[in-house]
Amino acid sequence: MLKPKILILGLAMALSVNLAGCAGTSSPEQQTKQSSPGVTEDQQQSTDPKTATPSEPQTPTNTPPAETGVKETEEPNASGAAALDAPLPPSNKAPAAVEPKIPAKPALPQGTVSLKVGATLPEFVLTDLKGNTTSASAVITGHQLTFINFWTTT
Amino acid sequence: MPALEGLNKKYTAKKVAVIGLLLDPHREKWALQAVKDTTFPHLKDDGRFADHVFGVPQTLIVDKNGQILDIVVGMRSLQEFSALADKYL
Repeated sequence: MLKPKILILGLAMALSVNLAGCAGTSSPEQQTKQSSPGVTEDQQQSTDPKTATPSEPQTPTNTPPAETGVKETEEPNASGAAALDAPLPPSNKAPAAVEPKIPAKPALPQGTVSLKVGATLPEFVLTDLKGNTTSASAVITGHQLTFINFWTTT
Repeated sequence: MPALEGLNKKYTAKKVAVIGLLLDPHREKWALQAVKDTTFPHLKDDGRFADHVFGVPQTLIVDKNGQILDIVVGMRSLQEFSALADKYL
């Protein structure tokens, strides 16, 4: 005699819990939709950092939740990819630090002298009257303009 | 020479350099007397330029890539050199 009573009592408790969880919805479809709170809670949590509105969790009931679930799973992947990309720039900066060594090479081309407007001076290294050695690229590439004055003593 | 010295001092802050290039370095003793009042360097030609210069003094105006922008043959005043510098800056 006790078993049917316990069974009925258990069913009544389960039904009351379901009704309390439904908050007024009584159709079995809504119950089944709301019986998977993991999806809606995940959606709420994932949309909260963005522009989460209180009505958003209700609208997915009309649209297939699978689509929103995919979109929201893609975003973490994208952010995850960005997070994976984030450590890469430091490794890319290492070669960038090597690049400034390139201008150490003579910026002026090797070749013969052609003193015409529009021509480019070749690289040359000459000694000045004080005995110092000066390269053309060291002076010319370091200034916006260079005036080179050819002169003689006679 | 005084005009170029003035140009060198006037446009140093604007990244303008002046270089003298002596075409007869075998007369170095005379050259040192001529440049004693200048502060910019005077390089001694090793023979590469002398055959290409017709008329001295001659001044090349070169940009930072080594391209010759203008060639001025003869002496010029500081005002004339300054106008050229302003033109190409």
